[in-house]
Amino acid sequence: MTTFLKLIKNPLGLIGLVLLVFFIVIGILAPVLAPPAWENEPYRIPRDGYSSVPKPPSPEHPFGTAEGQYDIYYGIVWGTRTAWTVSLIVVGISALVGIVIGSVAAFYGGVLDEVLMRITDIFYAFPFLVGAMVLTTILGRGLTNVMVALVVLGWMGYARLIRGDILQIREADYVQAARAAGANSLRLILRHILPNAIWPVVVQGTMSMGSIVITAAALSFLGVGAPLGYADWGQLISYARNWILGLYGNPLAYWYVVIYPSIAITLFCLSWNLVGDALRDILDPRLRGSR
Amino acid sequence: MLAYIIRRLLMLPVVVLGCIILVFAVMQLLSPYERLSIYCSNPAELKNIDFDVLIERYGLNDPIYSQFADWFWNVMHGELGWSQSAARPVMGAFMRFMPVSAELALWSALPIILGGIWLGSLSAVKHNKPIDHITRIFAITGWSLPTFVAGLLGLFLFYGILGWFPPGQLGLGASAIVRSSQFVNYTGIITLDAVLNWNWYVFGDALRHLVLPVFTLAYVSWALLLRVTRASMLETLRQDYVTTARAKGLEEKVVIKKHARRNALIPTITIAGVTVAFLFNGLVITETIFDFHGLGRWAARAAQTFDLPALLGYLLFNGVLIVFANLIVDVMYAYIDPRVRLE
Amino acid sequence: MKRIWLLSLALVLVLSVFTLGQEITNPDTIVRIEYGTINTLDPAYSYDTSSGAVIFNIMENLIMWPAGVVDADETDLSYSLATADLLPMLATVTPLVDNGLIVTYPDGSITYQFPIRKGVKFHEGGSLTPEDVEYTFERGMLQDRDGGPQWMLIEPLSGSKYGRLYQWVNDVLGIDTEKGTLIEDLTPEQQTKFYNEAIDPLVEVTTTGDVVFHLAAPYPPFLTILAHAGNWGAILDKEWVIEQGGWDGAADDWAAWYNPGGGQAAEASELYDVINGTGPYMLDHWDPGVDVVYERFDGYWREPAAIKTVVNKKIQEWSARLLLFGRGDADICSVDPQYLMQVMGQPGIVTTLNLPTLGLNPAGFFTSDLNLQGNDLVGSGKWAEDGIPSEFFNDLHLRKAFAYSFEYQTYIDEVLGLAGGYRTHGPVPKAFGWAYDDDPAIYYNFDIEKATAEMKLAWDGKVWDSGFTFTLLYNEGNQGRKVIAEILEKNIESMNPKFHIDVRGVPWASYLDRMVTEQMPLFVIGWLADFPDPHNFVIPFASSTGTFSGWQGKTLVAMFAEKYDPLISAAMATSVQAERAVIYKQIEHISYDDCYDLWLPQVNGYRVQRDWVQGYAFNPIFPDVYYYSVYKAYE
Repeated sequence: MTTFLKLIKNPLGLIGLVLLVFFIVIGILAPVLAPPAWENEPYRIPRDGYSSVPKPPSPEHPFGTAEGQYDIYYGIVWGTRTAWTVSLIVVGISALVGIVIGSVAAFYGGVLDEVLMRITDIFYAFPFLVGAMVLTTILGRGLTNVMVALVVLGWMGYARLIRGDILQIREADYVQAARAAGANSLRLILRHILPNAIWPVVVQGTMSMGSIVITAAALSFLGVGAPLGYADWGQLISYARNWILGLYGNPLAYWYVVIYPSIAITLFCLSWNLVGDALRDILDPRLRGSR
Repeated sequence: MLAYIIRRLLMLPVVVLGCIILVFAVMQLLSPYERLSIYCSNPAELKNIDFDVLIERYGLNDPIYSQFADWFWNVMHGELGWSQSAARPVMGAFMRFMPVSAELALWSALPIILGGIWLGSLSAVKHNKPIDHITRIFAITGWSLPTFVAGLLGLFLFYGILGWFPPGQLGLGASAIVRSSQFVNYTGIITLDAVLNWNWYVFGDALRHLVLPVFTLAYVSWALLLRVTRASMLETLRQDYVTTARAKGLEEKVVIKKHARRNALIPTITIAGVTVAFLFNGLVITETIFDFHGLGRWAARAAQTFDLPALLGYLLFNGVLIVFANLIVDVMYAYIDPRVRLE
Repeated sequence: MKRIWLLSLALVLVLSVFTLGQEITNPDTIVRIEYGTINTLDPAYSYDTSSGAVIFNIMENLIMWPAGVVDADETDLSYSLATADLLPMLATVTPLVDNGLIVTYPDGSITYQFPIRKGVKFHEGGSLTPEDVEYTFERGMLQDRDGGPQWMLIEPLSGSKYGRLYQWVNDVLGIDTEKGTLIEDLTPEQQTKFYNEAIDPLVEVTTTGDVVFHLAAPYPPFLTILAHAGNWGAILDKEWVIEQGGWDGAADDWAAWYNPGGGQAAEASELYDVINGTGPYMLDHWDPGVDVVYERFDGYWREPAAIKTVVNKKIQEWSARLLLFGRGDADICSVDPQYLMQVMGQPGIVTTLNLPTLGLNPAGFFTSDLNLQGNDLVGSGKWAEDGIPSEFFNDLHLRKAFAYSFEYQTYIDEVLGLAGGYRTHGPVPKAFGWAYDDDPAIYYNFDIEKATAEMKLAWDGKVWDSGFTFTLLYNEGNQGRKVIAEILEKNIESMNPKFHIDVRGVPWASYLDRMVTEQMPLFVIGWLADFPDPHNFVIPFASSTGTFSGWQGKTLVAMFAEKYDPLISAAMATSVQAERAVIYKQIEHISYDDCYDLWLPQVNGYRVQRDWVQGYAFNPIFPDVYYYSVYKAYE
């Protein structure tokens, strides 16, 4: 709780938290804010015609329509849910996989450590975007496959982090004491080591919550992300790709196709980073007492 | 130390082959027809083709180990194969695209590292003051902006409206010079070759084309270095010797420059090294937007069209690069910081 | 210090605004920005538009097409696609029946005789000889790569008996080169026998120095295949090719050059990255995927070209192209139809709309007797609301119901946008006015009531009662194909709550796989003309062995074999255009009746160029700009 209080006291952290609450509310209220056109396909953005020329905001389409006449407002609202889904699932599973692999490697050491860490090295040497593209092209376009790709290529950082931390903490007095007292290894990891080693992972995870959404957007931009017309911010921004320059004499003609999705994605990422930064300041023992 | 380096280098083939086996394994999810598709992107070419004969001839239906063995055998004989997506041999494509990416990555390294350090120490020195918040928000906003939005907006502003920094790698005049026989292409890295040829026109033109992509890359990556530098500066600023220096009555500027910053840089250097290595495989989008024909774009295209020989060749290179970069960083770290011992 | 900085910044800002003048940039250079991959420079190997475009500007054929001009000031569409209008190029006369250079013999065989132009130089110094012409075509046919263009020569020259060289070899030598001896392994004796008996007599040099082609049977579009624009008819310098390591012209060793790289690695051909022609431009350099640059050839046999250097840059990103073009740093720009409005009306940019096009791209194909094995597009695979059976599209009423459910005009207005488009109704493109029957009665129009009525008749009411579910695929990135599927989805689903269509995008590889294995109930794909003749379209679209029609399942294929193949052959048996026209119009009428394809609207052609680009030649068969006639000036 003290951590939370400190977070609220930190001005940037507070801004981040408020923004996150805002995005949670939008995500929860999505069916109210933008009733779906297809009951069983709520993530399919309704389109008003097929023309590729974006249309400016109007009473029917408060944020205008993107290339292909997809309603931007609808896409932003339901895209919030997509963003939460992607970031929570990808970060959650990657962190879990990383923690398991990292702590097993650190705790047992020896050959097992060596093998696990070499596997980590192999995945590390895999170029991230290209790897994700290979996976999503082969598995097919779609959000699930994007998440699979991001997890497969995203757990290594957590594994290394937790391994390093555990190796440090293992030598700490209280762990040695527990070991001498005959605590078995699993209990030792779960009760004594993990709770102390986990904080850097939490900070790391918070930071990734936002950047995962950016990465997913990059995949959409490269044509291997969410399917066409899926409510996803990255998808909306990539619809803006060919209209950012506007028209001759009116460079801002299509400002709405760029601005709304960019604001959504940037704010989401920004808020997680602000919270993450603040958390790090608070949790980093080296910085304690500096305020 | 030497033993450590040798041991790490011995791991190199393991890592690289691991990557390659992964790709082979994933490719097995495709049907042989799908693996053949790279050669049939033009519907007209489908005429008079007997797909089954082709699949048989190119061994696309062979078991994975035999396909892998074929590939390995060819690589051992210096044959990396043909990249359909680049319309050139894999080796040729690599030699052509690699210097372009290297040029981008090396030039970006400068502003990323220097800018990151400057911003980081600024925000540490002014800890919790408005300037700390402003710097951090500035950097985090860049981090939160998708590269393609930042890049396209930059292009729009600095070329579309101002006409300063055009897309592409070289202008018309400069590329004619580079193609001519008087200009010797030593490395393929244009700025370097221009200096070696003592041709400042080409150098200037190349630089002018580099400004936008380099700053886009820098803006979206500063946050990382800023964080590391800031954290380590904050720590150092509270160390005894800094306090001592202050107590001796040294000017604050001198304390920060001479004592704190130098020591705070150790972790930064580690991160910086990795950042530059990773820049290589993060260039996909920058290269696409600014029309640079580099490795990232080639690999992305290969990935999307199942151009297996190209992908494998790229992974081979990338694996070597990452392993060496990590090794160099480790060694450097140990060299700078005597507390670290390589085991 | 800081002030000075700011001041100079402002100064540069102001200056940069004023430098946007009306001056012609780089008056003796044309910069073209576009996308598309050049695969090879070998004229016998190339079978894609981008590679063809390079060969088109550097090499020349025996004959060529008359072209119109599209300028800032005029749009002159006096081009022609008629054989009778072909102009001589490296030949001095176009063979015609009237001038005695086309001769039909009593056995049905036919010869085309070309007097060869004298004093023509290749870029590398060689002189054009009749032997070069003979060598060019023999080399091409003997090289016949998988998926290559050589069928266009093998088919007419073999009297329409073969499409591939190996089939011919099998017949002449009595072997099976697919399963037994590979062509690469033929003995010198076998090679000599085949060359002497089959290939050598086809193209011969006469004692007077003319070149004669011997066709075993009439092939009316033969001259259109040879004409300039078709890279397979571009004339090589024999001695130069041999210097590059090519086939030496000997009868007993050609097999070593057969199917280079298995049709998959263009580099295996000795002419992959070198090119030597007689054309107005020579290759300065080619950087695959990056750019290709031509320099004017001053020893050209006609007047040398006006523009000295042509730079062709490949730029994928539309925004980058738009900026370069808008600022005048490029002269000619490729623009997708949906982005036309971003260039139209910009000062200094001229857009010419409503030009004719020559292709059927896209067209939709129904598949009869679907392959249900491992097919996830057909739901349960049975007559039920949750699937479709294999024979679903075998029924004519059902196909008609789909044809009535497509909003053709909406597609033209909204998808094709400012470029606009036109309707088609069968396998013959509208550009062939002489063979196209513009009878309004043979178009299906959007009519939901007729569609519903047909749907109720389909399978004697079974479809209406049981309902269905299936998936329409589009290949990812192809927005047009997605819209086509979505229009069908919307209208079909509106008819009956038991009708369900899913729309899904898949990578091209997977799309191709499902097309070839006959899993897709309805697939959309396109065809561009190889040579301007209806035959080049009825074959892929309406013959039992056609590239696309062959994948439409056994019921439709049987129908093609029974009704269409005889007509297609009949249209090739006569050279009289009026007789051919009657047959093609008949094919269009029965295509309407059989409704085996969804004939989709075609986009109009357009050109986008800076206003100082003059003399831009136009013919819809041209793969690209023909830079020879282009110059930069204000008129």
